Amino acid sequence: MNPLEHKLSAEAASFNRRQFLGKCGMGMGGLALAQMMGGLGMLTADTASAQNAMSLNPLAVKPSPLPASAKRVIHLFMNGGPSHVDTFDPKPLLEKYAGKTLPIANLRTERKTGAAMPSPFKFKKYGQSGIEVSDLFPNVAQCIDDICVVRSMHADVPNHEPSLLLMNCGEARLVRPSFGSWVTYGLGSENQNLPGFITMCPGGYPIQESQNWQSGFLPGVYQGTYIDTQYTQIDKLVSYIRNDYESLSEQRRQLDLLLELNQSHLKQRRQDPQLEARIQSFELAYRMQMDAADAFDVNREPKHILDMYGPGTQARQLLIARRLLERGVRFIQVWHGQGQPWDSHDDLKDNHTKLARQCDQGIAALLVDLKQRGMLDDTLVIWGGEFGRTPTVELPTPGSNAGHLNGRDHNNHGFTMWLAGGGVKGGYVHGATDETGFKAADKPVHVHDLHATILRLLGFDHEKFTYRYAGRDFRLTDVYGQVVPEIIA
Amino acid sequence: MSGMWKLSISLAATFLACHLGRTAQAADPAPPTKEGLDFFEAKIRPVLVQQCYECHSEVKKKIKGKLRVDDLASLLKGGESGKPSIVPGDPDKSLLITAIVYEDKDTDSHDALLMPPPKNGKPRKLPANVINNFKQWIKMGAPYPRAAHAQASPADPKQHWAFVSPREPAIPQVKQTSWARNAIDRFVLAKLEAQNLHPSNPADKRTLIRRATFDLTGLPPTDAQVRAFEADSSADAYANVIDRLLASKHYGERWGRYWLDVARYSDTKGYVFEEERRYPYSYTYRDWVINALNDDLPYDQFLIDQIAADRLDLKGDNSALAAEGFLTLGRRFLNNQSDIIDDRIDVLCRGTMAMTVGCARCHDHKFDPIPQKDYYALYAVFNNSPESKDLPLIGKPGNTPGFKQFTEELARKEQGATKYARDRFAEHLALLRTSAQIAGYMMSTRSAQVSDAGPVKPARTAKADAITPFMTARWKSYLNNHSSPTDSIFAAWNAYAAIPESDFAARSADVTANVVVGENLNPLIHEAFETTPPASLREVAERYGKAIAACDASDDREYPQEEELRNVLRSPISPTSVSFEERTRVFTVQEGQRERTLHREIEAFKVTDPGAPPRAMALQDSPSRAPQNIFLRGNPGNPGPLVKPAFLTALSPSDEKPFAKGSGRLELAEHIASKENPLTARVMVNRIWMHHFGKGLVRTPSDFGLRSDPPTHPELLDYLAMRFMEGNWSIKNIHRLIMLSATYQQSSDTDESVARSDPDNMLISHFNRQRLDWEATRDALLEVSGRLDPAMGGRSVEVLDSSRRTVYGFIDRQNLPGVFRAFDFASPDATSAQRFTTTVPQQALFLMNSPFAVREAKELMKRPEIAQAVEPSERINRMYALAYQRQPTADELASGLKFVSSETSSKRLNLWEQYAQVLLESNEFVFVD
Repeated sequence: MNPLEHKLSAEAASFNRRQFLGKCGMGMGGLALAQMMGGLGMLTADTASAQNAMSLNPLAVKPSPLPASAKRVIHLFMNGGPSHVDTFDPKPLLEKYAGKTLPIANLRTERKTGAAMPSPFKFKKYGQSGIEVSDLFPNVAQCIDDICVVRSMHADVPNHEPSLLLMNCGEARLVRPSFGSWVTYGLGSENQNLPGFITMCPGGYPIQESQNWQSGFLPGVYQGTYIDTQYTQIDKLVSYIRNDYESLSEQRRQLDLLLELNQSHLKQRRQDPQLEARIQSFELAYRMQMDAADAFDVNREPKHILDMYGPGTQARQLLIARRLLERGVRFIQVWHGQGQPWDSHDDLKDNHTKLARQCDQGIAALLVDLKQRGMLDDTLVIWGGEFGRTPTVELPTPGSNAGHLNGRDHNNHGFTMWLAGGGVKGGYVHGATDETGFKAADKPVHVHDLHATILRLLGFDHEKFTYRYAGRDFRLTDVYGQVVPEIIA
Repeated sequence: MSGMWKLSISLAATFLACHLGRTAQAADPAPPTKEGLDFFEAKIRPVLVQQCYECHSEVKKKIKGKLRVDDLASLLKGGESGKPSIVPGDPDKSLLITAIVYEDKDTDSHDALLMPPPKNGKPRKLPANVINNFKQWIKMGAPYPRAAHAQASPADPKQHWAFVSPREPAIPQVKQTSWARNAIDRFVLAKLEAQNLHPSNPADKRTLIRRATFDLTGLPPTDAQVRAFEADSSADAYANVIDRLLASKHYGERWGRYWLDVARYSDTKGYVFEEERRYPYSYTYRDWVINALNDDLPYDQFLIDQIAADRLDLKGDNSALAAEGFLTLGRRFLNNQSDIIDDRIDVLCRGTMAMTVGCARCHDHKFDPIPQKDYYALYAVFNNSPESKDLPLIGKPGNTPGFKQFTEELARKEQGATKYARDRFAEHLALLRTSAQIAGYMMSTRSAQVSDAGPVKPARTAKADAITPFMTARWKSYLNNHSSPTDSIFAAWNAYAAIPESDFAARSADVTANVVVGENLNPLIHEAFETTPPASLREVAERYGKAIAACDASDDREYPQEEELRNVLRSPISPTSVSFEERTRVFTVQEGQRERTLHREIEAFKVTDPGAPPRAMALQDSPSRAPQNIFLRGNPGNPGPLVKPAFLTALSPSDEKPFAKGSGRLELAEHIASKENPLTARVMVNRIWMHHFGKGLVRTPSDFGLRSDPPTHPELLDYLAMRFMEGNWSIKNIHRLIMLSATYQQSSDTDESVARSDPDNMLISHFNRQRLDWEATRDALLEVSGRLDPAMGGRSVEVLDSSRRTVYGFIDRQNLPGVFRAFDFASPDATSAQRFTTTVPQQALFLMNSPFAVREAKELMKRPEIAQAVEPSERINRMYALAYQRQPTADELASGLKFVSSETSSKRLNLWEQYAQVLLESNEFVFVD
């Protein structure tokens, strides 16, 4: 028999598109799962069955190996490094030493710092937990009983680039997959019509650019899809999401013909699953055009929701993020803005005030909104920068800062991040910096420890969640990291 | 939480099992379980490496306390105390535990045993959970992998199949002898017959030529080529097709790209601060690879050129120097030297030998016989192989007006940059020699903040006359060398400086009286203080400044005392004798930035000017070889024993000598590109096989180590490797051998039974249907639409704005365009022998909506043979011939006619164009049967 004879059988000719789509929608999941034998441990770049499984549907939902309290993650990245002593870690001692040298020597940071600089912001107790928050975040403070404040974070070096890579990829210099890539690889995504890992940053890239959401040695499909949220039109947000040449109904007609041709091609090739997967990818793409447009269009929200998030780019991107989370996107990173906005070497009071005003209302709205939709329970919200700032004033360094003597330098020795939802203990403060705020002193939590803990919340043992590459089993936490059980509710 | 409980229960069970096992049979410990070993790797080894290896491992020449913790035997035997460090099963009797619990006290017989030892008097006790882990590990019987490995495979790891030279295998006997066309088929058939399976039918001629053409050129055949082949019934019709394809220039573009994946090719350095991000000459490497493959350069020479072309006698043609881009165009890691070298070691060892040597950067390889010293033996080679400062020109640049213009403009720009730097530098030197600066620096040396070591950071100043830490340190060091009370110049300064600030006014006159009677004192300094005692130390400094600067300024120096003072500023050891290389230390921030900007502009000019001649990103050997230490835990700040440049021990005879010539790079190349090397030929033939069949005989193409998948057909792999080496390492010969086999010519259709019994087609009972990769997809679209620009070589182009082949597209490793990632492009950050194949909707969106895809559909309709076919069914026939090299079936024709006869039509994409787009989107277009 000549396999090239393209003859449509009676069955194929009477093929009904809806039936087929129904079959695909169900069929693919089962098919992919069947290929997923052995689970994660077997998935490596180099083994054949893993390749088959990944190629058929790399974003198919995969169960976590351990029970998980968090199903999805949103990481609010305050890039540049917000000052912890001005936001979530009050240090009255700085008042006492205002303008004077601290009783302990200043730790080495990127630049020289001098005397103690008291916070220009007032702290107040909030909620039942009575956790103190500064007046920079009055709205977030209202949610404090849902928030776990980790005041004893520490990282390795006081420079942006390595600290960003450490926070995002668990390694400061070498090329490693980002956190979001690991999670998307491990869990897949619950919405096949949208990318599983989305990273939003208005106005352009943060520094270190797309390395912050790189997939490293994992397949490229697990890399974060970057979206510039300064734009509002859908085709500027997602590449090739809209056809500018024909109407949707014309395109549907094209895809119907494509399906017919592919279907007869498939029938002559014994239903090869890779052919079937590609057929389905066109149907997914077609639906993605509508779903993505819908997901990114915040104007479909009712007025009271729009009002709750407030005006501005931050509010809009946070609301987009919620809509994406709702649609099953696995990992979302929301960056404050291009470059390093929170990097207040000078004029900290004005700059931090401006930045916090841009995002406080939106972040609080996100927490409230997730909670009222019942999503906060299994959505992990992470807030923080790549490090904090010194409790001491940055000294003038000509050419580097304006020398106003009213800002703070980078501080990797101690800083604050907070977590909410996803099974973390709300209304709880974990650890502490020393009384000056310079250094994590009580129950220090390294970035690797944070990663280990977050992976645990998502249902992974960070020591067992590995990927074989170049002869080694790699982990997000490399050879470090300890789960911090106190953070987990 | 229940998962965690489960985990600890299973550990407890493991521990019990091991523990009981031990009690029952203490002399002969049970082999460690997988759980036990996992526990060791997760909890124990990292701590040993981090905390103990520095003093207690083989990397240390003098092992502290004669105890090694990187070896189970040594731990069981113990160190100089004579007592075992660990007693498996019994933490209380294990000295290691005594040491780490940190409760031991000094006694008459021994000092307190505390590990890790206190530093600067501060205890460094390990966290409680870590100590508990050690106790638990010992209770488990101290499972340790080296011993485990020895038990699992008693043979020397050097006996691992991949580390043993390939041997000429016996050609197996088969039943179905008529099927076999060459020896390959006998190896394949023997395995199939052993499983009662049979090969598939031969593929039909259209399928075969389409497969062969895509395989060798990355482009579809033309309809005419298919028809000619179908009509050619001669015996060598197929062999002729293969020869034609191997001779095509497009062959190198296809197979060169595979090698560029291995070479982690990119046109940029990755993340940079201020430098130009693009490599101006990366394309010369890409073009060299393509040409080398087209010329069928023997693979051993192909490798030697890429590793050490600069060490060869190139006989007047230096184009091979471009080959060293293989090593040099990796990511630059903000110019961190040890990361750059690590990248080169990885691309070299995984890229050519499938050896994961990079694992030994911090400690011995856990699985393969690669000790850490091997890594640093290679590191030594690269550490003594700097990049050529002036990259060598390749060939002789033509005497074109463009080149002339470029050379002139470049010289002008370079002169401009040099002049800028020289002028600023001269200004700074003059300024440093003014009386005000001399005085200023003399005073600044009094500030407590200057460390003796001197500042490491460049001066960050905005003002030219600011006091910089760099200069202060130089002055401080200079004055320290002149601190004698009888120093002929600085005796006075030393005396005044000794007066406490508060007493200065009171004691100045006394000191002056003493100073001026000094016999040695330079008369000009004497003169400066003779008449009036200074009111402050600053005034002392100012008088010095004046006296010294005056001598420096005066042209006629009659007296030796003038010369002596001038030497304070002019002698080679003078603080103001700053070298030009150190200029950035005295430049202001703005000047430093300006100079870097000028250099960046020069680099950008080289990247963009059409007249810029090609250069090779070549290496050279250092004039003298710097010694190389092992870096303990991979940390360059923590040097261990010295190593010599040498080849991998696992692949060397025991009496192998270190490399002797220069950096050793050429010897390294010769050891890799050698018939003696058991890996090189196997690795390459496996990859050639893999790119034909979609799957390799070894399915881990960049890891042939102990944890790799063994070959599905080990004898066949050896057979191919032998043919490769014997055939003068000709890659094209191997293509011929493979493609002429019946195995390759099988149909990709399977029957149900095979799909069940061998779903991964390990036995090669059929050909593997494969989807076109990103390059072939895009190139096939351009070819079919008639728009493909056949030009070869040259600078990289923005691929989506171009009609060049995709291999010429600009690759920015820092921000790779989304569409590259969506289509599984190889990561340009590390060597990659095989791409992932994922199917995601973003690929479909590109074909449905991108301006590129739409344009190809429109261009297809503009092709003369299509546009001239007025009759719709004839037009459809011709479109099928172009896209699929066949005629449509009656049903397909009917569907097409129906589609184009609709009444609705968009203005921007008419019905025919829409139809063309569908044909270009189809599975048939992108899958090769």
